[in-house]
Amino acid sequence: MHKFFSSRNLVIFVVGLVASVGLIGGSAAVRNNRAMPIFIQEFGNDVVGIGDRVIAVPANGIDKVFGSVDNLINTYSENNYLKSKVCRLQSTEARNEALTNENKDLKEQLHLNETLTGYTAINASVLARTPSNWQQQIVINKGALAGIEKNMSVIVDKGVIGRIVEVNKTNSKVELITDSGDSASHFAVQVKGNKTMVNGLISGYNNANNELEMGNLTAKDKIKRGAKVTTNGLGGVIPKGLFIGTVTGVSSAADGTSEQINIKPAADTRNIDVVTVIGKK
Amino acid sequence: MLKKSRHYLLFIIGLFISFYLEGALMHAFPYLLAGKFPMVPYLTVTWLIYTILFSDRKQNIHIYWWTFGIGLLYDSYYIGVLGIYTFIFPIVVLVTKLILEYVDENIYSSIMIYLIDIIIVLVLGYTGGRMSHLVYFSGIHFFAYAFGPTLLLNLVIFLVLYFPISLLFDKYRK
Repeated sequence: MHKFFSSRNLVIFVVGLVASVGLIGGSAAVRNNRAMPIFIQEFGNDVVGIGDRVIAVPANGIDKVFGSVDNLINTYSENNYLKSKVCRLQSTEARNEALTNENKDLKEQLHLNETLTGYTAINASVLARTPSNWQQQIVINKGALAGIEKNMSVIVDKGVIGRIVEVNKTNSKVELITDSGDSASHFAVQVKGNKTMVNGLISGYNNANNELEMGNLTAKDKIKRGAKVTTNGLGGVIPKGLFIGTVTGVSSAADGTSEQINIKPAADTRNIDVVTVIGKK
Repeated sequence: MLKKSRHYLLFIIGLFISFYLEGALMHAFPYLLAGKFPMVPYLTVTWLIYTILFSDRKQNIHIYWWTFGIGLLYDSYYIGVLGIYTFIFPIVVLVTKLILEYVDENIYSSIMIYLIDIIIVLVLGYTGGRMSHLVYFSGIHFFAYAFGPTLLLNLVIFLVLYFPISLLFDKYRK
Protein backbone atom coordinates (compact mmCIF):
# COMPACT_ATOMS: atom_id res chain seq x y z
CA MET A 1 0.00 0.00 0.00
CA HIS A 2 2.93 2.32 0.58
CA LYS A 3 3.17 3.09 -3.13
CA PHE A 4 -0.15 4.83 -3.55
CA PHE A 5 0.18 6.85 -0.39
CA SER A 6 3.73 7.94 -1.05
CA SER A 7 3.81 11.68 -0.64
CA ARG A 8 4.63 12.35 -4.29
CA ASN A 9 1.54 10.53 -5.56
CA LEU A 10 -0.63 12.12 -2.92
CA VAL A 11 0.54 15.59 -3.90
CA ILE A 12 -0.16 14.90 -7.59
CA PHE A 13 -3.60 13.53 -6.70
CA VAL A 14 -4.58 16.53 -4.58
CA VAL A 15 -3.22 19.04 -7.09
CA GLY A 16 -5.14 17.19 -9.83
CA LEU A 17 -8.34 17.26 -7.80
CA VAL A 18 -8.05 20.98 -7.09
CA ALA A 19 -7.22 21.75 -10.73
CA SER A 20 -10.15 19.64 -11.88
CA VAL A 21 -12.65 21.40 -9.62
CA GLY A 22 -11.25 24.77 -10.74
CA LEU A 23 -11.52 23.80 -14.40
CA ILE A 24 -15.11 22.61 -13.97
CA GLY A 25 -16.12 25.84 -12.26
CA GLY A 26 -14.29 28.05 -14.74
CA SER A 27 -15.45 26.36 -17.92
CA ALA A 28 -19.04 26.00 -16.69
CA ALA A 29 -19.08 29.76 -16.14
CA VAL A 30 -17.63 30.35 -19.62
CA ARG A 31 -20.23 28.01 -21.13
CA ASN A 32 -23.09 29.90 -19.50
CA ASN A 33 -21.91 33.44 -20.01
CA ARG A 34 -19.82 33.68 -23.15
CA ALA A 35 -20.82 33.14 -26.74
CA MET A 36 -17.67 31.20 -27.61
CA PRO A 37 -15.30 29.06 -25.56
CA ILE A 38 -11.76 30.29 -24.95
CA PHE A 39 -9.63 30.31 -28.08
CA ILE A 40 -7.54 27.22 -27.39
CA GLN A 41 -10.62 25.12 -26.60
CA GLU A 42 -12.39 26.38 -29.70
CA PHE A 43 -9.36 25.54 -31.83
CA GLY A 44 -9.13 22.06 -30.32
CA ASN A 45 -12.81 21.41 -30.97
CA ASP A 46 -12.44 22.48 -34.60
CA VAL A 47 -9.49 20.13 -35.11
CA VAL A 48 -11.32 17.22 -33.45
CA GLY A 49 -14.38 18.02 -35.56
CA ILE A 50 -12.39 17.56 -38.76
CA GLY A 51 -11.41 14.06 -37.61
CA ASP A 52 -15.02 13.31 -36.81
CA ARG A 53 -16.02 14.08 -40.39
CA VAL A 54 -13.65 11.34 -41.58
CA ILE A 55 -15.18 8.86 -39.13
CA ALA A 56 -18.73 10.02 -39.85
CA VAL A 57 -18.59 9.04 -43.55
CA PRO A 58 -18.41 5.21 -43.07
CA ALA A 59 -20.60 5.41 -39.95
CA ASN A 60 -23.34 7.26 -41.81
CA GLY A 61 -22.97 4.82 -44.71
CA ILE A 62 -23.79 1.88 -42.43
CA ASP A 63 -26.61 3.90 -40.92
CA LYS A 64 -28.04 4.57 -44.39
CA VAL A 65 -28.03 0.87 -45.33
CA PHE A 66 -30.15 0.06 -42.25
CA GLY A 67 -32.36 3.04 -43.04
CA SER A 68 -32.91 1.92 -46.65
CA VAL A 69 -33.99 -1.58 -45.64
CA ASP A 70 -36.33 -0.10 -43.08
CA ASN A 71 -37.80 2.27 -45.68
CA LEU A 72 -38.35 -0.56 -48.14
CA ILE A 73 -40.41 -2.48 -45.61
CA ASN A 74 -42.50 0.56 -44.74
CA THR A 75 -43.08 1.69 -48.31
CA TYR A 76 -46.57 0.28 -48.82
CA SER A 77 -48.21 1.64 -45.70
CA GLU A 78 -46.37 4.91 -46.04
CA ASN A 79 -47.54 5.31 -49.63
CA ASN A 80 -51.17 4.87 -48.64
CA TYR A 81 -50.82 7.41 -45.88
CA LEU A 82 -49.06 9.92 -48.10
CA LYS A 83 -51.69 9.61 -50.86
CA SER A 84 -54.32 10.77 -48.43
CA LYS A 85 -52.10 13.68 -47.41
CA VAL A 86 -51.22 14.82 -50.93
CA CYS A 87 -54.81 15.72 -51.79
CA ARG A 88 -54.92 18.17 -48.95
CA LEU A 89 -51.40 19.47 -49.47
CA GLN A 90 -52.03 21.39 -52.68
CA SER A 91 -54.98 23.30 -51.33
CA THR A 92 -53.02 24.10 -48.17
CA GLU A 93 -50.08 25.29 -50.25
CA ALA A 94 -52.24 27.61 -52.33
CA ARG A 95 -53.87 29.00 -49.23
CA ASN A 96 -50.47 29.36 -47.57
CA GLU A 97 -49.16 31.40 -50.46
CA ALA A 98 -52.19 33.68 -50.42
CA LEU A 99 -51.79 34.19 -46.67
CA THR A 100 -48.05 34.86 -46.99
CA ASN A 101 -48.71 37.52 -49.62
CA GLU A 102 -51.45 39.08 -47.58
CA ASN A 103 -49.24 39.04 -44.51
CA LYS A 104 -46.46 40.76 -46.45
CA ASP A 105 -48.82 43.46 -47.72
CA LEU A 106 -50.23 44.07 -44.28
CA LYS A 107 -46.75 44.30 -42.77
CA GLU A 108 -45.75 46.84 -45.40
CA GLN A 109 -48.82 48.93 -44.69
CA LEU A 110 -48.03 48.92 -41.00
CA HIS A 111 -44.28 49.55 -41.60
CA LEU A 112 -43.72 46.45 -39.53
CA ASN A 113 -40.46 44.88 -40.59
CA GLU A 114 -39.62 42.68 -37.68
CA THR A 115 -42.19 40.40 -36.17
CA LEU A 116 -41.68 37.50 -33.90
CA THR A 117 -42.42 34.94 -36.59
CA GLY A 118 -39.68 36.03 -39.00
CA TYR A 119 -36.47 34.03 -38.86
CA THR A 120 -33.32 32.94 -40.68
CA ALA A 121 -32.50 29.28 -41.24
CA ILE A 122 -29.19 27.41 -41.53
CA ASN A 123 -29.08 23.70 -42.36
CA ALA A 124 -26.56 21.37 -40.69
CA SER A 125 -25.99 17.68 -40.17
CA VAL A 126 -25.14 15.86 -36.96
CA LEU A 127 -21.55 14.73 -36.32
CA ALA A 128 -21.88 12.96 -33.00
CA ARG A 129 -23.94 12.61 -29.89
CA THR A 130 -22.41 13.25 -26.46
CA PRO A 131 -21.54 9.87 -24.93
CA SER A 132 -23.03 10.63 -21.55
CA ASN A 133 -25.97 9.28 -19.65
CA TRP A 134 -26.71 12.43 -17.72
CA GLN A 135 -26.61 14.93 -20.55
CA GLN A 136 -28.41 15.15 -23.90
CA GLN A 137 -26.30 16.98 -26.41
CA ILE A 138 -25.31 16.64 -30.07
CA VAL A 139 -22.50 18.13 -32.16
CA ILE A 140 -23.43 19.60 -35.56
CA ASN A 141 -21.16 20.42 -38.49
CA LYS A 142 -21.78 24.18 -38.82
CA GLY A 143 -20.34 26.91 -36.65
CA ALA A 144 -19.61 30.60 -36.44
CA LEU A 145 -18.39 30.67 -40.06
CA ALA A 146 -21.87 29.64 -41.23
CA GLY A 147 -23.49 32.34 -39.10
CA ILE A 148 -24.52 30.29 -36.10
CA GLU A 149 -24.84 32.14 -32.81
CA LYS A 150 -25.33 31.03 -29.26
CA ASN A 151 -28.91 30.38 -28.08
CA MET A 152 -30.36 30.01 -31.58
CA SER A 153 -33.06 27.36 -31.62
CA VAL A 154 -32.65 24.11 -33.51
CA ILE A 155 -35.48 22.31 -35.28
CA VAL A 156 -36.05 19.26 -37.43
CA ASP A 157 -38.94 19.10 -39.90
CA LYS A 158 -41.46 18.25 -37.21
CA GLY A 159 -40.55 20.57 -34.39
CA VAL A 160 -38.08 22.07 -31.96
CA ILE A 161 -35.32 19.82 -30.66
CA GLY A 162 -33.07 22.22 -28.76
CA ARG A 163 -30.82 25.26 -28.73
CA ILE A 164 -27.21 26.09 -29.50
CA VAL A 165 -25.04 26.14 -26.35
CA GLU A 166 -21.52 26.40 -27.74
CA VAL A 167 -20.25 27.79 -31.03
CA ASN A 168 -16.85 26.94 -32.51
CA LYS A 169 -15.62 28.04 -35.92
CA THR A 170 -16.74 24.94 -37.83
CA ASN A 171 -18.94 23.01 -35.42
CA SER A 172 -21.28 23.70 -32.54
CA LYS A 173 -23.06 21.93 -29.71
CA VAL A 174 -26.81 21.61 -29.40
CA GLU A 175 -28.46 21.04 -26.05
CA LEU A 176 -31.61 19.02 -26.66
CA ILE A 177 -34.97 20.23 -25.38
CA THR A 178 -35.22 17.04 -23.36
CA ASP A 179 -32.14 18.02 -21.36
CA SER A 180 -33.60 19.77 -18.34
CA GLY A 181 -30.45 20.32 -16.29
CA ASP A 182 -30.07 23.30 -13.98
CA SER A 183 -28.32 25.40 -16.59
CA ALA A 184 -30.54 24.29 -19.47
CA SER A 185 -32.63 26.81 -21.31
CA HIS A 186 -36.30 26.64 -20.43
CA PHE A 187 -38.18 27.29 -23.65
CA ALA A 188 -40.98 29.85 -23.34
CA VAL A 189 -44.06 28.22 -24.82
CA GLN A 190 -47.80 28.72 -25.16
CA VAL A 191 -50.87 26.58 -25.67
CA LYS A 192 -54.43 27.58 -26.45
CA GLY A 193 -56.87 26.87 -23.64
CA ASN A 194 -60.66 27.07 -23.67
CA LYS A 195 -60.77 30.81 -23.00
CA THR A 196 -57.26 32.22 -23.00
CA MET A 197 -53.75 31.55 -24.22
CA VAL A 198 -51.75 29.79 -21.49
CA ASN A 199 -48.04 30.70 -21.40
CA GLY A 200 -45.40 28.71 -19.58
CA LEU A 201 -41.93 27.23 -19.61
CA ILE A 202 -40.64 23.80 -20.57
CA SER A 203 -39.56 22.90 -17.06
CA GLY A 204 -38.63 19.26 -17.23
CA TYR A 205 -38.52 15.98 -19.08
CA ASN A 206 -39.85 12.61 -18.09
CA ASN A 207 -37.38 10.11 -19.54
CA ALA A 208 -39.44 7.04 -18.69
CA ASN A 209 -42.35 7.89 -21.00
CA ASN A 210 -40.61 10.49 -23.22
CA GLU A 211 -42.76 13.48 -22.29
CA LEU A 212 -41.88 17.13 -21.78
CA GLU A 213 -43.30 18.98 -18.80
CA MET A 214 -44.63 22.53 -19.11
CA GLY A 215 -44.69 24.43 -15.85
CA ASN A 216 -44.86 28.02 -14.55
CA LEU A 217 -48.29 28.40 -16.16
CA THR A 218 -49.62 31.95 -16.40
CA ALA A 219 -53.32 31.13 -16.42
CA LYS A 220 -55.63 28.43 -15.18
CA ASP A 221 -57.70 27.11 -18.01
CA LYS A 222 -59.00 23.84 -19.38
CA ILE A 223 -56.60 22.45 -21.95
CA LYS A 224 -57.69 19.80 -24.43
CA ARG A 225 -55.68 16.70 -25.14
CA GLY A 226 -53.95 17.04 -28.48
CA ALA A 227 -53.73 20.85 -28.29
CA LYS A 228 -50.63 22.15 -30.05
CA VAL A 229 -47.83 23.71 -28.00
CA THR A 230 -45.63 26.30 -29.74
CA THR A 231 -42.91 28.75 -28.72
CA ASN A 232 -44.30 32.16 -27.81
CA GLY A 233 -41.33 34.24 -28.98
CA LEU A 234 -40.90 36.00 -25.63
CA GLY A 235 -37.34 36.60 -24.50
CA GLY A 236 -34.09 35.40 -26.03
CA VAL A 237 -33.65 34.70 -29.73
CA ILE A 238 -36.30 32.03 -30.20
CA PRO A 239 -38.90 33.09 -32.78
CA LYS A 240 -42.61 32.69 -32.24
CA GLY A 241 -44.61 29.79 -33.58
CA LEU A 242 -42.09 26.93 -33.59
CA PHE A 243 -43.91 23.67 -32.95
CA ILE A 244 -42.95 21.84 -29.73
CA GLY A 245 -45.51 19.05 -29.43
CA THR A 246 -49.03 18.04 -28.48
CA VAL A 247 -50.65 17.95 -25.05
CA THR A 248 -51.19 14.51 -23.55
CA GLY A 249 -52.63 15.56 -20.23
CA VAL A 250 -52.44 17.76 -17.16
CA SER A 251 -51.06 16.59 -13.85
CA SER A 252 -49.87 18.14 -10.61
CA ALA A 253 -46.20 19.09 -10.57
CA ALA A 254 -43.61 17.45 -8.38
CA ASP A 255 -43.96 20.16 -5.74
CA GLY A 256 -47.64 19.30 -5.39
CA THR A 257 -48.92 22.88 -5.40
CA SER A 258 -48.95 23.76 -9.08
CA GLU A 259 -50.11 22.17 -12.29
CA GLN A 260 -48.04 21.02 -15.20
CA ILE A 261 -48.98 20.19 -18.75
CA ASN A 262 -47.47 17.02 -20.20
CA ILE A 263 -46.38 17.28 -23.81
CA LYS A 264 -45.47 14.63 -26.33
CA PRO A 265 -42.58 16.14 -28.35
CA ALA A 266 -43.35 16.45 -32.05
CA ALA A 267 -39.75 15.82 -33.07
CA ASP A 268 -38.11 12.50 -32.32
CA THR A 269 -35.23 13.74 -30.18
CA ARG A 270 -33.71 10.27 -30.05
CA ASN A 271 -33.01 10.02 -33.75
CA ILE A 272 -31.62 13.17 -35.35
CA ASP A 273 -29.58 13.30 -38.55
CA VAL A 274 -30.19 16.69 -40.15
CA VAL A 275 -31.22 19.85 -38.34
CA THR A 276 -32.12 23.46 -39.15
CA VAL A 277 -30.77 26.22 -36.94
CA ILE A 278 -33.19 29.09 -36.56
CA GLY A 279 -32.42 32.66 -35.49
CA LYS A 280 -34.57 35.76 -35.20
CA LYS A 281 -34.24 38.03 -38.21
CA MET B 1 13.36 -0.24 -30.77
CA LEU B 2 11.10 -0.84 -33.75
CA LYS B 3 8.82 -3.11 -31.73
CA LYS B 4 8.50 -0.49 -29.05
CA SER B 5 7.37 2.17 -31.43
CA ARG B 6 4.84 -0.26 -32.94
CA HIS B 7 3.14 -0.86 -29.59
CA TYR B 8 3.19 2.85 -28.90
CA LEU B 9 1.61 3.58 -32.27
CA LEU B 10 -1.05 0.89 -31.79
CA PHE B 11 -2.05 2.45 -28.47
CA ILE B 12 -2.43 5.94 -29.90
CA ILE B 13 -4.29 4.92 -33.06
CA GLY B 14 -6.67 2.79 -30.99
CA LEU B 15 -7.15 5.64 -28.55
CA PHE B 16 -8.34 8.05 -31.22
CA ILE B 17 -10.48 5.47 -33.02
CA SER B 18 -12.27 4.55 -29.79
CA PHE B 19 -12.67 8.25 -28.96
CA TYR B 20 -14.44 9.00 -32.23
CA LEU B 21 -16.39 5.73 -32.28
CA GLU B 22 -17.95 6.58 -28.94
CA GLY B 23 -19.73 9.64 -30.33
CA ALA B 24 -20.48 7.93 -33.64
CA LEU B 25 -22.06 4.89 -31.93
CA MET B 26 -24.20 7.14 -29.73
CA HIS B 27 -25.39 8.85 -32.89
CA ALA B 28 -25.89 5.63 -34.87
CA PHE B 29 -27.91 3.70 -32.27
CA PRO B 30 -29.91 6.38 -30.46
CA TYR B 31 -32.93 4.23 -29.56
CA LEU B 32 -30.80 1.66 -27.81
CA LEU B 33 -28.29 3.99 -26.19
CA ALA B 34 -30.26 7.17 -25.49
CA GLY B 35 -33.69 5.69 -24.88
CA LYS B 36 -35.46 4.85 -21.65
CA PHE B 37 -32.30 3.33 -20.22
CA PRO B 38 -29.46 5.68 -21.18
CA MET B 39 -26.31 3.68 -21.82
CA VAL B 40 -22.86 4.75 -22.90
CA PRO B 41 -20.31 2.47 -24.55
CA TYR B 42 -17.17 3.71 -22.74
CA LEU B 43 -14.83 2.63 -25.53
CA THR B 44 -12.05 5.04 -24.62
CA VAL B 45 -11.87 3.75 -21.05
CA THR B 46 -12.06 0.19 -22.35
CA TRP B 47 -9.16 0.80 -24.71
CA LEU B 48 -7.07 2.31 -21.90
CA ILE B 49 -7.65 -0.75 -19.74
CA TYR B 50 -6.87 -3.14 -22.62
CA THR B 51 -3.63 -1.25 -23.17
CA ILE B 52 -2.61 -1.57 -19.53
CA LEU B 53 -3.53 -5.27 -19.50
CA PHE B 54 -1.99 -6.34 -22.78
CA SER B 55 0.86 -3.99 -23.66
CA ASP B 56 4.43 -4.73 -22.68
CA ARG B 57 4.86 -3.45 -19.10
CA LYS B 58 8.54 -2.67 -19.66
CA GLN B 59 7.77 -0.19 -22.38
CA ASN B 60 7.04 3.37 -21.41
CA ILE B 61 4.15 4.59 -23.53
CA HIS B 62 3.54 7.77 -21.47
CA ILE B 63 0.07 6.50 -20.69
CA TYR B 64 -0.73 9.16 -18.10
CA TRP B 65 0.00 12.03 -20.49
CA TRP B 66 -2.04 10.53 -23.31
CA THR B 67 -4.87 9.73 -20.91
CA PHE B 68 -4.87 13.28 -19.62
CA GLY B 69 -4.85 14.61 -23.20
CA ILE B 70 -7.70 12.42 -24.43
CA GLY B 71 -9.70 13.32 -21.30
CA LEU B 72 -9.25 16.99 -22.09
CA LEU B 73 -10.43 16.47 -25.69
CA TYR B 74 -13.35 14.38 -24.45
CA ASP B 75 -14.50 17.15 -22.13
CA SER B 76 -13.96 19.87 -24.67
CA TYR B 77 -15.52 18.19 -27.70
CA TYR B 78 -18.31 16.09 -26.22
CA ILE B 79 -19.26 17.51 -22.84
CA GLY B 80 -18.48 21.23 -23.15
CA VAL B 81 -17.11 21.61 -19.62
CA LEU B 82 -13.44 20.89 -18.90
CA GLY B 83 -12.15 18.99 -15.90
CA ILE B 84 -14.56 16.06 -15.60
CA TYR B 85 -13.08 13.24 -17.67
CA THR B 86 -9.72 15.02 -17.71
CA PHE B 87 -9.48 13.93 -14.10
CA ILE B 88 -11.42 10.65 -14.22
CA PHE B 89 -9.47 8.94 -17.03
CA PRO B 90 -6.07 9.21 -15.26
CA ILE B 91 -7.70 7.97 -12.03
CA VAL B 92 -8.97 4.91 -13.89
CA VAL B 93 -5.44 4.23 -15.18
CA LEU B 94 -4.02 4.72 -11.69
CA VAL B 95 -6.54 2.37 -10.07
CA THR B 96 -6.03 -0.28 -12.74
CA LYS B 97 -2.24 -0.21 -12.37
CA LEU B 98 -2.54 -0.24 -8.59
CA ILE B 99 -4.77 -3.32 -8.50
CA LEU B 100 -2.57 -5.12 -11.03
CA GLU B 101 0.31 -4.85 -8.58
CA TYR B 102 -1.57 -7.09 -6.16
CA VAL B 103 -3.46 -9.55 -8.38
CA ASP B 104 -2.34 -11.76 -11.24
CA GLU B 105 -3.65 -10.79 -14.62
CA ASN B 106 -6.19 -13.22 -16.07
CA ILE B 107 -9.65 -12.81 -17.55
CA TYR B 108 -11.44 -13.04 -14.17
CA SER B 109 -9.32 -10.44 -12.46
CA SER B 110 -9.54 -8.31 -15.60
CA ILE B 111 -13.36 -8.36 -15.45
CA MET B 112 -13.22 -7.38 -11.79
CA ILE B 113 -10.85 -4.51 -12.48
CA TYR B 114 -12.94 -3.40 -15.45
CA LEU B 115 -16.15 -3.30 -13.42
CA ILE B 116 -14.46 -1.27 -10.69
CA ASP B 117 -13.19 1.17 -13.32
CA ILE B 118 -16.58 1.60 -15.00
CA ILE B 119 -18.22 2.20 -11.61
CA ILE B 120 -15.59 4.88 -10.93
CA VAL B 121 -16.30 6.49 -14.32
CA LEU B 122 -20.07 6.41 -13.75
CA VAL B 123 -20.07 7.72 -10.19
CA LEU B 124 -17.37 10.38 -10.61
CA GLY B 125 -18.78 11.36 -14.03
CA TYR B 126 -22.20 11.93 -12.54
CA THR B 127 -20.66 13.89 -9.65
CA GLY B 128 -18.73 16.07 -12.09
CA GLY B 129 -21.84 16.67 -14.17
CA ARG B 130 -23.73 17.59 -11.04
CA MET B 131 -21.02 20.08 -10.07
CA SER B 132 -21.17 21.76 -13.46
CA HIS B 133 -25.00 21.88 -13.37
CA LEU B 134 -25.38 19.87 -16.56
CA VAL B 135 -27.24 16.88 -15.19
CA TYR B 136 -30.86 16.37 -16.20
CA PHE B 137 -31.22 13.14 -14.26
CA SER B 138 -31.86 13.01 -10.54
CA GLY B 139 -29.50 10.76 -8.60
CA ILE B 140 -32.16 8.15 -7.91
CA HIS B 141 -33.16 8.04 -11.57
CA PHE B 142 -29.53 7.74 -12.57
CA PHE B 143 -28.96 4.71 -10.37
CA ALA B 144 -32.30 3.16 -11.30
CA TYR B 145 -32.21 3.63 -15.07
CA ALA B 146 -28.66 4.36 -16.24
CA PHE B 147 -26.24 2.65 -13.86
CA GLY B 148 -27.08 -1.04 -14.30
CA PRO B 149 -27.67 -1.05 -18.07
CA THR B 150 -24.45 0.90 -18.73
CA LEU B 151 -22.46 -1.51 -16.58
CA LEU B 152 -23.97 -4.48 -18.39
CA LEU B 153 -23.41 -3.04 -21.87
CA ASN B 154 -19.78 -2.25 -21.15
CA LEU B 155 -19.18 -5.67 -19.64
CA VAL B 156 -20.51 -7.27 -22.82
CA ILE B 157 -18.30 -5.04 -24.99
CA PHE B 158 -15.29 -5.86 -22.81
CA LEU B 159 -15.85 -9.62 -23.04
CA VAL B 160 -16.55 -9.62 -26.77
CA LEU B 161 -13.43 -7.63 -27.58
CA TYR B 162 -11.16 -9.18 -24.92
CA PHE B 163 -9.59 -11.94 -27.04
CA PRO B 164 -9.43 -10.08 -30.37
CA ILE B 165 -7.67 -7.13 -28.76
CA SER B 166 -5.28 -9.36 -26.80
CA LEU B 167 -4.37 -11.10 -30.09
CA LEU B 168 -3.88 -7.70 -31.70
CA PHE B 169 -1.41 -6.71 -29.00
CA ASP B 170 0.32 -10.10 -29.23
CA LYS B 171 0.80 -9.63 -32.95
CA TYR B 172 2.88 -6.54 -32.33
CA ARG B 173 4.87 -8.05 -29.48
CA LYS B 174 8.36 -9.48 -29.78
